Amino acid sequence: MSHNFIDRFCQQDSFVHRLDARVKILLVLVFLLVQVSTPPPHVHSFVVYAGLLLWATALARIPAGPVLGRAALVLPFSAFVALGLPFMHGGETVAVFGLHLSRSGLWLLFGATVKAMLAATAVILLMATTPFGRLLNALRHLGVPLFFIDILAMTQRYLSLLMGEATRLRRAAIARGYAPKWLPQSVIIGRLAGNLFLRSYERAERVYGAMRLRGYRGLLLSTPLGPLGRTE
Amino acid sequence: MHIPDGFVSGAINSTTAVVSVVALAVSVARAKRELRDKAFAVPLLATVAAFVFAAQMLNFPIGGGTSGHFLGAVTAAALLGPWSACIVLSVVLLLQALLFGDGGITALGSNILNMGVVAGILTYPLLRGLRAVLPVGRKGYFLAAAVTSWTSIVLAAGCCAFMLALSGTSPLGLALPAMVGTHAVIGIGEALITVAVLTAVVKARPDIVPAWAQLDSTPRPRSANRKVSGLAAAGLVLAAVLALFASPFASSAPDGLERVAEKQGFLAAASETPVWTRSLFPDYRVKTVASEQAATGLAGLIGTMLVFACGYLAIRFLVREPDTREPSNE
Repeated sequence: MSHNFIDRFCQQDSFVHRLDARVKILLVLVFLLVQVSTPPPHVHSFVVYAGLLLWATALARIPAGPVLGRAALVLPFSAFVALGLPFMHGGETVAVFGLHLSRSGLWLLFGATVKAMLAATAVILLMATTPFGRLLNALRHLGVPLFFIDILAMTQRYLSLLMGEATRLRRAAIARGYAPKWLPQSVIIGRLAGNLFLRSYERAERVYGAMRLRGYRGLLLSTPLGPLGRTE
Repeated sequence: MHIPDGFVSGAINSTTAVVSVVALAVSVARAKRELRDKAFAVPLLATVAAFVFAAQMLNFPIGGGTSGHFLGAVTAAALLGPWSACIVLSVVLLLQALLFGDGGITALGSNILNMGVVAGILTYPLLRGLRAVLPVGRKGYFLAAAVTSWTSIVLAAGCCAFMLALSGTSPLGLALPAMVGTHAVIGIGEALITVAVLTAVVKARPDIVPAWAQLDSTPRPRSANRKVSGLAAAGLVLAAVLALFASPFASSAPDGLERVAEKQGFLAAASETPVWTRSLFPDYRVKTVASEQAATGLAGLIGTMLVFACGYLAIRFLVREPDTREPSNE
């Protein structure tokens, strides 16, 4: 679970990469809202949505394989819905592998899964073509309060650091023979987490000290954005 | 528990988004007021958010080869207060949706409501209440934290099931037992981890645990007033849990009076001439909601809250406190 995966593509150059981040955010939001509110039996609209995404992916010169792999994270939730299928009270039933399943339930499963995959792909595409700093700057210019932007920026900065630290703590525990099988053994995880919290809190104090020395008084500075160009 | 896009209906997502935005605005205002050093707020909340994010990667076994992971809402609430906890969880959820595709963007409102507002803010009165009721000291403090973090997971999972049921994605009779059942076990892991984190922090840096400063000094007798309000808060949370989760599965058989009425034949008469024609929740159900059980649970929750509010207001007005002690807003 490394997020360098997405970052890697941010450094490329393409039409999509150059597009103003504000426009990209709004486009993705509109896309999400439209596709999520499409009723599942409209299969052709989903084909159009998928085509749009493929076109954008090709335009951004990003390989489709890893993007789809990442979007498959929604499948466990689909399994949860699939579990409920036989109990759906949706009139007609369809025989699948000798089981009588409700037709409306199957549409529901199809719709939710496809929508979730499409949405995840759109978000990944946005993140893979926009460096995080530019995304935050655009969000700020779209009206998100500066307090949040600052927290988001700093969280993202320390994320990979702390995730690395968590991975090392876990690896150290495994190297010492930690192979948990049942619940009470998660106390060990708790101790690791406690250790991690102390490390991150003390890091916050050090960082804050350093920030104070450099003149920080409460809010970070951000670069202004120019007006939208003709391409947008 | 991270709901992806497309699993919850637009109506629910927009409602929860509005509620979450309001809750966040309140949280920011309160957190800014509560944190001692205002400028420290940004680095502090950011590192704690990064911590919660990283700690969620540490899976723990729940038996049968499956694993659960830490949520961290109560840990954050115990260390930073409920308002900051809500901000931290929201930041984590937004980043998870953006960077990892974990949870949807349109479902962000629902996810923040479940894990930030319900697990982070709404369970805080329970933590305070339990601490007021349980014996002062280490054991009481950790026990309160453990019970609260278990409750936070189960409550958040229950709300998630309700959202799925209200959207018609999964029937409540299946979603609620499945979600609450698995999370009742995951909640134990959450409780163990919360206690372990708090133990480590109390040992190494007792100065940053707000509650510990008061706990560690010589235990002083608490005023009866605080104990009562703590008991009330704990009772309210318990009643809400029961109303939400137990009422849909209560027996649908007529109660004693209804049965007698049926036998004596005056039930028909009663239903023909209703005393109150415009009941808020006819037969304990919220009308606009499709799923029958979800509707019952929701009506139970709203009813409980209304009854509590009425009782609270009545007591506030009827019982006048003697103004001998220092002025307090309770």
